[in-house]
Parts: sequence; structure tokens; C-alpha cells
Amino acid sequence: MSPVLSGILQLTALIAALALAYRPLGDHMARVYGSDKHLRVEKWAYRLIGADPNAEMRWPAYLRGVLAFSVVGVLFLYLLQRVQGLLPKSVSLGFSAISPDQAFNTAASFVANTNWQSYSGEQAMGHAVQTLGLAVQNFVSAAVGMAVAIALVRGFARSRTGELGNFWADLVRGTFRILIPLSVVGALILVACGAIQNFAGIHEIGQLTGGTQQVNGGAVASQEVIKELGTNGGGYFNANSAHPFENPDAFTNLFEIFLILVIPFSLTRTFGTLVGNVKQGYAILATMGVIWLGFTALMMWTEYAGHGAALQAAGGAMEGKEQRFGVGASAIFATTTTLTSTGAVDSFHSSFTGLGGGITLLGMMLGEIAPGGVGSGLYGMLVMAIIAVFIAGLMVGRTPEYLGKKIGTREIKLAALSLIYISDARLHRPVHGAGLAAGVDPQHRGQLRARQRRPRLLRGALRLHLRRQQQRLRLRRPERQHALVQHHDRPRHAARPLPADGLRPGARRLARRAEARPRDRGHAAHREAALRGPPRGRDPHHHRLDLLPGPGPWPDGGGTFMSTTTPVRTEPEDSGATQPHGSQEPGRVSGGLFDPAQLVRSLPDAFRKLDPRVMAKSPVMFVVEVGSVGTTVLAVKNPGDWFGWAITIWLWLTVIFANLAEAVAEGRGKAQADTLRKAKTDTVARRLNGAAEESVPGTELRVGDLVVCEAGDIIPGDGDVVEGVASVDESAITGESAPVIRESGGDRSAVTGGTKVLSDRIVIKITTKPGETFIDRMINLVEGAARQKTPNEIALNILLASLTIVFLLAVVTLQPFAIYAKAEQTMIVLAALLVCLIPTTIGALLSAIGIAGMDRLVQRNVLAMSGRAVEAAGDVSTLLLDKTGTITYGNRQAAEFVPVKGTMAAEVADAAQLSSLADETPEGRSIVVLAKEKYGLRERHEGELVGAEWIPFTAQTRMSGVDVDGRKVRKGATGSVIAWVEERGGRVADDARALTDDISQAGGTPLLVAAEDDKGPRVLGVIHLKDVVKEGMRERFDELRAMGIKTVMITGDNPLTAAAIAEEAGVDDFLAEATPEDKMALIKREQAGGKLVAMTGDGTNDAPALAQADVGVAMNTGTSAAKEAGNMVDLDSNPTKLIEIVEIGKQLLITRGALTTFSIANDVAKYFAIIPAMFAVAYPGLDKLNIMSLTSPESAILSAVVFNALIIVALVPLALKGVRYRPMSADAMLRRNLLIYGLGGLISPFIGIKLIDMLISLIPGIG
Amino acid sequence: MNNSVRNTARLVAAGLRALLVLTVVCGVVYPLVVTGIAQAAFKDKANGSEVTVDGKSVGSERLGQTYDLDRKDKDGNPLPDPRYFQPRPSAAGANTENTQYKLLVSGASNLAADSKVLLDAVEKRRADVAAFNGVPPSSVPVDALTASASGVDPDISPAYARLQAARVAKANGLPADKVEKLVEDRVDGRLLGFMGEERVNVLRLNAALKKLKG
Repeated sequence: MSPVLSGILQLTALIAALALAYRPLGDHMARVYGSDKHLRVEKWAYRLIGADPNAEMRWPAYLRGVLAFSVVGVLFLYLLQRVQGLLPKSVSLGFSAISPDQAFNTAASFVANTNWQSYSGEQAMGHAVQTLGLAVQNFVSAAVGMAVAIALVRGFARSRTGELGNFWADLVRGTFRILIPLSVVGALILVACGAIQNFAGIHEIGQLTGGTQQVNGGAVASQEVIKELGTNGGGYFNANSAHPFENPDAFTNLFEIFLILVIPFSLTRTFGTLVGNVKQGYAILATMGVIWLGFTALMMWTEYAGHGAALQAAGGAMEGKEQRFGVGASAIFATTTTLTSTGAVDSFHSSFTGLGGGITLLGMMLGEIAPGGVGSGLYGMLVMAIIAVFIAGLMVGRTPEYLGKKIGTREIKLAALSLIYISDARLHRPVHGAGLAAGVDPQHRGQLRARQRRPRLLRGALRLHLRRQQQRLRLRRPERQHALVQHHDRPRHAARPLPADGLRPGARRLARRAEARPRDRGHAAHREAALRGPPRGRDPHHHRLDLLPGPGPWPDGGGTFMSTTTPVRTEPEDSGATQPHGSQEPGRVSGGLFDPAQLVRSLPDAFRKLDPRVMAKSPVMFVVEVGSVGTTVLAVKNPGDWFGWAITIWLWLTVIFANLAEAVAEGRGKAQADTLRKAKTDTVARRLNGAAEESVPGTELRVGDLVVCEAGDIIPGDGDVVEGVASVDESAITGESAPVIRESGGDRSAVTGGTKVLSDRIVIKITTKPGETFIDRMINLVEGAARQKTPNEIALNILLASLTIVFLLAVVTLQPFAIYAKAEQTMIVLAALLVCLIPTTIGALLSAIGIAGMDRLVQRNVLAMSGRAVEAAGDVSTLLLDKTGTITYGNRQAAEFVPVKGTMAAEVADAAQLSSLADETPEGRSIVVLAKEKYGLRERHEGELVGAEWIPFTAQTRMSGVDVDGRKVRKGATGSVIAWVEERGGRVADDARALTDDISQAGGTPLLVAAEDDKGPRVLGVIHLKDVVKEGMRERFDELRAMGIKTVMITGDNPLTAAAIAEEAGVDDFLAEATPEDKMALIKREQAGGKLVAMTGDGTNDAPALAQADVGVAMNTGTSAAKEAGNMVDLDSNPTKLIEIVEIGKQLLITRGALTTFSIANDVAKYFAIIPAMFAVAYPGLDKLNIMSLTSPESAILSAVVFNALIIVALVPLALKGVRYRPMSADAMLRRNLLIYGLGGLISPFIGIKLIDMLISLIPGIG
Repeated sequence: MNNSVRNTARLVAAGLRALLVLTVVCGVVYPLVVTGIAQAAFKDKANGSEVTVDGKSVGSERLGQTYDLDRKDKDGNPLPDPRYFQPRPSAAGANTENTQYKLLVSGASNLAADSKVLLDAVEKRRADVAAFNGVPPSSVPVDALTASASGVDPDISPAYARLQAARVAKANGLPADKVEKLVEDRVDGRLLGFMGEERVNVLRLNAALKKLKG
């Protein structure tokens, strides 16, 4: 068998063993932490500790417990080491006290589960310190790590409460039920294979050649097993797990790797079980597993290949490896121990191949996540998951959510801090190590330099490195060690408040779904609603009915709003020639137009925005600007350097392009604001002062003033009509030239300042202060002056800023490496590298995307009063739609005349027509129309019938009719007509009742037609009134369903009618006989289930619900109370527009997510362009990375910078238009967007940089 | 203030009690139980797997040892004894801290893969081993050229053992084929056929050799 095959088989066996243990151990741990029973020994322990294991703790209490326990642990371990010299020789082995610095180092790092072994076990630590001190911390620091991870998991799993369990119980259970049982079994397996386990002291044993050899005894196996299981790593012997007493053969070697991995991997199962979704655990396991396996495969490959001059000379990478393990198993151990931040080694990483050493380095950098230490791996991974889910969530147009918890600004802030912490701590260590090495005495420098070339001074390697120095150079510098302790120490259990902090209980916690579920199941038409009186009558004129929506946001003319790009567009004489917009692109969301000429026009603004005070708002671009200033200074100092100048110019261009994107987005709004300002001329108001009237400027009006407006007057301010009725031209605001009626009382009382009274006289009560009127707000909004960053944008900004910090640190750290590698870089190159690595693309376009999103709404005549609302719109999962006007045409129409037995249909039609002539309601007219269309009955007019007495329809009688020629005809509501017939001694046909019931069942409204003539009073037949569902609604709702949005129809109809219409329209649910309270209750219930709710409304009684809904769209025709309560106003008053608002909101989020992904994916190509260019001189081998075969290092770096700048301009149109949104499932959309923007972002820079490089190489004198 | 101090004190006291409880369990009971079972069930292994020849302990099977002459070369390094199979090079150092014991400190060279120091060392070892055993330098296997991780690696590769067989036979005046058979008998295959590498335990091989010599 070849060594390679043996290595692969060992890896396979290891994976198989881990897979076998995964479920049982994961489930066991879930049971341990989820159980409410206590073992007897545990009860004794709790009694001794004096803690109540059943007392739930919130995170501060939990954290205090962790800290108190850890502080005590450090002190105890420190003291134990310091008194070693006083202990009996049998337990101290005669070793003296550990020096204070060394003791503190060991104590702090063992308690923190770092287990930095900067001592040599066999020459410093006696049995007492090893077993009472170090072994105990091996147990408890692991138990604390698991406890913290479990507390975090509980934070995810328990949504209602901020309680995270009990720290003492978690600590004791983790130790008693998980670590000790596994350790006892594991230790005995190790002993059986040859690990030692005794309390013998240091003794001499004979040698074959006659001399003697000194051998340490000790409780090695029992320590070894928990050292691996708890991912600790402090060895009993200096050589750690390479020592044959710790790791006697190839099987124990694999077994120890298994022990390291088994808890971190299995904890994902525990996590999945505890959050009630094992798939979540699998997802994290898969990520961990792929990274671990990838690292291991790469490590095995490079170690088998044995690169490196000395190893090649020896014929294999066996330096620092044991014969019984061989290369393959040592490679597996190395990646495992570094990726879990375990300090154990079975081979010495310093002597690994170059790439292998790099992998251990990278492994240590990733040490918190894949699979990470016991506990820390899981919570490190959860932090990563939060960041990943955030970006992925954006890409499918949802406010990101993980395990039912919204990921908002605060969550991203904490996750970003954690991200920076991880990178910062990692990146700084090598620098520190490098500084340490610089202090080494000169004769060892050469030897050290050989090692320093790849700084591998982290974690285990650093420990070994330091120990070697200590041993060989007698170098013990307390101050250095302390500095390293601080840097190296991983306070991941004791002093890291982050994960626990994320578990803040309280207001933002969303209610547990399970609890909300029973109430929203099924239809919302409920028992209690059914008891409440007759259906609320609705004003058929309530909504404007002329707004049949198009099939989607890309129709060829879906209503008036589609043809008007701006509110004032239809009034060219008002808007003048300032319209900056080009023609509309067909088949695309209106808005988001992009006119190249506008780039030029916005250029002055772009320069104005270079002001650092403005730039500071965008941290990413601010860094670029600072870099630009820096390179400018350098270029001025060295004016002959064309490369410096070229980089400088392109860095400045990067900043300017970013500003340009924002300026272009803002410029569009400015033009609209100008036209609005024209509409808002200074008006003179006629204020009523008692009975007298006085003229005051409109700006002096106060809330509560009464003003009079007559035909031709401009209404001076926002208010409600309190007297009179008038037709008003609101085109200045809505762009709709047809006048609207405004009258006192009811839902049509609101008037807007700046609009014009066309007829009649009204008295208006002013409700808004001047300067805060609707038109003022509108101007502010479209200008972007009032634009606040939306929560999601803030969160993304934080994430981008943290990435910028990470890359800044990386670049700063690179220079010392480069100096060691004798490839010192100029500051210009470093600035170029930094700018290429930080996410400039999204950083530059982020605010333009936000402005463009608001703009798209404005172009649809929707004014969003807060950015939050726009974002929430994208995230809405429940839409409440009024039936009337939104789903149906809003007026019930006659569909059929059904005669009772013994009557002809024509007779019914005739009577129905006759009786409806006096009925001016839409229903009445529709009866006349039906009679004409279906029965050929000519419409008669009231004047035609001489002597007829017309009985008009009233809400009280609910009947209309006519008395003519001694014949009385009536039609009306069932109850009223029956009463009328019976009152006259007539008889109601038996089948009439059955017919009306049938119609009701079918969702229609039955009206009875009755007559009293020579045959006596009787019912003739039934008119079937139907609410007609608008065309295309079903498709619309299907799309929404595909988007994951639930539609709920709100109607005043009875449940039967409502169910029928709901069925016909294809909505998911309905609320029948809805009262405002019902609506409110429904919204709250949905929100309690963690959903965002959008609704439209216009009446004053809608106001509370509008305010409660996450997205409340008020109709412009509605009352000012409604407009005030909602967070958006639809100037077209088109209830269907809600659907488009949702799409725009989604588009906004998706555009951000897509461009973020694109921006980050771009980095890969830049690595390939810049890194070889920087280091190809020092490491010719790196030229292999120059896969684009760029002409020269200078042209490579310049090309990357140029690409980085140009891609911003190239993406401006996309940022303004928004990524195209198609209704589809989240999965499909994520796949699609990942493909386009992830893969596209990966590939396009390779092509772009190559092309730019080819162009640059054509310039003479370059390259 | 007083209250928070008292609360902190109470918390720290609880932490201390918890630590003491766990110290007793994990630091006293656990190692004693494991040691008790280990000593009862695996007495030999738990105490270091000592190898005895003629009733006399000659070292631990787990640990490598040196087989040197009393003479030293010009650099002051002891010369290897040609009558014994030689182990891998060792980078383990002597104790420098607690000088009251002359303990061997396990460990490796920590030299980098492209270190000039290591390259020189490898080349010198190749020449030395080839000359010592009278074989061409190209035939020296990798484990003879590189220092082990622990510095007390008890094993060598079968190739290195076979390479030494002729020299050992000659130095001990034994027939070459007998020594070769001795080596072949003591080649440990991979555990379960795939774990680790093939190896020969140097102490057991040398002990068997001593027995053969009588």
C-alpha cells in the first residue's frame, strides 16, 4: 500500500467514525442541556456550590457566572503553580515554583482554553500542577465553552424569553455527563494502546548499551484524552502528542484526531436539535466539514509532495514527524488541531512544507469556526452565519432573518465587531512575533529568518517557537511574554461578551411562532366576527375605480401612473423644459432611467462631495479618499514616477465616480423638486376671524386656523374641509388633471396646500404648520434632503466598514511580512492594494441605490415618508387588501335575473328595470344595463312614464321602485322586500328563499323583485348581484404567493360572500365583516408571528391600523388622519399599487445584496492580479498565480485599480435602475442572483483586468 | 455599592466552590479512577512498556534511546556504535531549566522546509549514514535523514533497518542472512493494514540482536 493510499484510508476511517458519532453524541448533548433532571452527584455538587440549578439566568447573570468562575480559575491555577516548590516531592517531583510571569501566562491561557504551553511539561510541572491544575482547566474551560455556545443556541431557540439557562447547571452537566464519561473511556483506550498512566516520579531505567535513561511518570493518558476532547492542547511532555507516551501508535493518533473533532462537529447536531430544525445544524456542519476537508486534502497533498529545499534533499517531509504516524496522518492532525484551535501537535509545523505551514497559519486564523474549538466553533460559525444570511437575505429581497430573528443594525454591528476581532487578533500576532524575533541575538538570526519567511508564529507554532527560544537561547523576557499573552490569549469564554450580548432579551424579540399559529390558522373570518350585526355598508364611491392594474410592474401602460414618469409630467407647461429624463425604456420598471448626459451634469456635484466631511458618511469611500491624498503626496514627492501618478489619478477617479453615482441619483430628484416648488407659490390666505375675514400670507397660518377658499383660489395649506363642498384640481401634486370632489365630513375632507379650488366655496381648518405641509415634505423627499439611511442600509454600511477595517489591517500587516521577505512595498502599491480589496463597488453605489429606490417610488406617485417603510415593503409577508376597489371593481353588478316559479324571466327583467330607474347606485344602474344587454329592454327614463311616482333608493328603506298605472314595483334587499310584500298581505314564493340562499352561497348578493298589481303583491324573482373580480388579479396573487407573500382580503361582506370572492380572486385568506378593530387585531396577530404587514387605507377609522402596519399606504384622497398615520401616500389613490410598492422594496434590497456580492467576489481576481505582482520578485514561484499573464507588475496593479474605478461607472445604471425583480421562490432567486452577481463578480474582473492590461501595455514607455 | 460588592463576593465565592468541587472530581477522583483501572488492567503499558532482557530492564519500548560508543567525533558528538541498529536523528535537547535532573527534553528541530541549516544537516546525515553503513548515499531513506518530532521516536522505517543489517551483521560477526531475517521478523505493518507507516522498533530489534549474539 502506498503511503498516499494509507493516508486517504485513514482520513476515510476518521470521517466514518465522526459520522457514526455525530447523531448519538449530538443528541446526547442536546438531551443533557435540555433536560430538567439532575443526577444525584450533580445535586450534591449544586449543594456544595450553593447554586440553584433551576434558576434561569438572563445573559448578564450568565456572563457574570462565566466571568466569576474564570477569574477564580486563573487565580487558583496561578497560586497552585507558585506554591509548587512548597509541595511534597511526591507531587511536585521536586520542581520549584513556576516563575510569576510563566505561571500567569499558563493560568490565563488554560482558563481561556488557549492552553498555550510555553513550558516544558517534563521539566517544570509536577503531578499536582498537572492533575489538580492543568487537567481540571482542560475540563472546565471546555465545559464553559460548551455552556456559552449552548446559551447562544438557547438565545436563538427561545424567542419569547431572554432566559438562557443556568450557568452552573450547564457547567456541571457538561463536565459530568459529557466530558468525564468520554474521558474515562478514552483514557483507558489510550492506556490499552500504550499511553502511560501512573504516579511514578522521574525515574531511571536501564538502557541496552548499559547506561540509563530518565523517564517521567505521570497521569498522562487521563490528561491526554481531555486535552484533545476539550480542544485544549497543553501537553504533558514538551513534544506534546508527538511523544510516544502521549500518543503511542498510529491508532491512538487517529483516535486523538477523532477526539478533537467529535464535540465541535457534533455540537451542530445539538444546535439543530435545540432550535428545532436539524437542517440548520447540517448547514453549519457542511460548512465546517467542507473547510476542514479542503484544508486537510490540500495539506496532505503538499506534505506528500514535500516541497522545500531541505525536504527535497531528504526525500520527504519527515522532519519533525514520527515514523509510526507518517506524513499523511501527521497532515490530518495538523489541520485538525489548527482548525480547532487545539494546541496539540503530533508533528512540528515549523518543519512543514511552505504551503503546509501556510495552511496551519490559515487554519489558526479560522480556528474559531471550522470546526473550531469546543463551543467556540459553533458560536464563531453562528456569527459567520449571521453575516452570510444578511447578504443572502438581501439578495432575495428580504430583510435578513436567521432562525426567526431579524438581523438588523445591532446584530450586524456585533457580528462585525466579532469579525474584526477575529481578523485583528489573527493578523496582529505575526507582527508581534516578528517583533519578537527581531530581538533575538544575531547568531541565531539566520536560522530564525529561514523560519520567519513564512511567519508561522501563531498559536501552537508560536508556543513551540517561543519554547525553543526559551530552551535554546535561554531567552525569557517577561514583558514580551505578557505582551504576547494579551495578544494571543483568546478570551473566548471568559471575556467575550459578544455572543451573550447578542441575546438581549426584550422588545425586539419576536414572539414564538408556535404560539401565534393556532390563531392564524384557517380563515380569518371568525366566530366572533360572524356575530356582529349586518355587513358594514360601504360607500361604492369609496375608491376610485378607474385604476385597473396592469399585469405586473412591466406592463405596456398599467394605469395612469405608468405613463407619468413624474407627478408633473402630464403638465408640461408646469414642468417646463427642465425634465432631465430621457425616454423610457420599454419593458423595464419605470424610473431608474439613466441618461449619460446626466453624468456630465452631475460632475460639479461629484467634486463638491469630495469634502471629507461629506465623504466620512461613507466609510469605504472615505478610506479611498484618504488613500488618494496619501498617494498624491507621494507622487508629488517623486514626480518622475509615472506609476505613482497613474495610481493617484485612478484613485481619485474612484472617489469621483462614487460621488458621481450619488450625484446622478440625487440630480433626478432635484429636477422634480424644482417643479414642485413652482407649484408651491406663496399664497394669500383668507383667514376667518370670527365672522370677519382677513388676508394673511399662507406662511403665517397656524394649526386650527379656518380659511375660506373659493373658485380660483389656491388652497393655502393642508387641512380638512369643515364646511361646504368643492371641486379641486390636485394636478400640482398628483399629476391627475381631472378635478376631485372635496367635502366636509367623511373620508373626502382632506385638502392639500398648493392645489386649486375650481368651483364652489369651502372652509378649511388648517391641520399642518407651514413648512411641514405635504408639498414641503414631498420636495424634501424627492430632493433627498430628508433621506435618512434605512436600517438595512446602516447595517450594510457597518458590515462594509468592518470589512474595510479587516482589509486595512491586512494591508498594514502585509508590510512587515514583505520586509521580511525582502520585498518591501511602496506605499503607493499598498494604497492600491487596499483600495482594490475593500468593497469599493458597493461602497460607492450604496447611497445611490437608496436614493434611486425612493425615486422609483416617487415616479410611481408614491411618497414614502420614511426609508424604513420602503425597506419594510420589500420584506412584507402579509398584504391586507381591501376587497372593494382593489380586488373587485368595488360595485356589485347585476349578473342574472332569476324568476320564481310561475314567472317569466322577461317579466322579472322588466320589473327589475322599472324599479331600478330611480336607483342611482351603481347596483341600480347595473340592473338597467343588464336588462338592456340581456333582455333587450330599452332603458326608460323617469320622464317617459307619466304619472309615475318614483321611490328612490335610500339606505333606510333599502328599496327602490315605482308606482305607475296602479302597479307597484319594488326591488331591494331581501328582508325589506319580503317585509313589503307581507305587509301588503302578499305571499312570498317558497322558492324565493331558496334562490336567495343559493345566490348568497355563491358569494353573490340577492335582491328581490316584487310587484303589487291585479294579481296581488308577490315576489317575481331574484336579481343576482355579483362583485366582479378585476381581471388579472389571480395571476397577481399567484406571483405574490411565489414571492412568499400571503394576501388577505378585507371585506365588509358576510363570510359566505367573502369566501366566494376570495376563492374567485385567489387570495390566501380573507377577513369578512371586518371592523377596524378586526383589522387591527389581524395586523397584530400577523406581526406577532414575526411577519411584516402592509395595508392600504384611506378612512379615518383605518388610521390606527395604518399606523400599526409596517407599511401603511394611505390614499391621497383619504383623510388627513389616514395620511398622517400611514408611512406612504399614494398620490394616485390606487390600492393595487401596494403590490408594486412591495416589488420596489424588494428590488431595493436585492440591488444592495447583489452589488455587495459582486463587490466581494471581485476581490478574488484582484488577488491574482496584485499579489503576484507584489511578490513575484521575492518569490518567483508566485508567478504561477499570474494566471492572467499580465504584462508587468506595474501594469497589473494599475489595471486592477482602473478596473476597480471603471466598474463603479459601469454599474451606475444598474444601481439606479435596480436589479430586475421577478417573482420567484427565494431559493430560485438566490441561485439566480448568486450565479449572476457572485459568479459574474468572480469572472468579470479577470476579463476586465486582462483587457485593461492589454490596453495599458500598448502605451509606450510602460510595461 | 455595598450591595454590588456583596453580590460580587457571593458570585466569586460560588465560583470558587464550583472550582473546588470540579477540581476534586476532575483533578483527584478522575485521574485516580483511571489510574486504578489502568494499573489493574494494563499494568505493563500504564507504566511505560518496559523491555527486559535477561530479567533486566533495558528501557521502554515506547522510547527511543541512543546506541553510542564512548568516543566522540571532532565536534564533540558521540559516535554511533556500529554493533547496534541506529535510531532516527534526534533534535531533543537536554534540560536547561531544572538542573538537578538530567532530563531528556522531548522535541523537534523546528527547522523550516527550506532552511539552509536543515539542508546542510540533511546532506551531512546522508553522507554520514552512507559512509557508516557503506552504502550509496542515494539509498539512505528519509527517516534516517530527518529528526523526529518527539526526539525519542522509537521506530525506524524497514528500509533503514534493512540498510543497516549488513553493517550490524559484520560488526557483530553474525551471518548477514540471520540479521536480515531478524529485521524482517520485526517489521510492524500498518495497523489494520492502513494506519500509520510500516516500522521497526529499534529497541526490540537490538534486544533480539543481543539475544541472538547470546
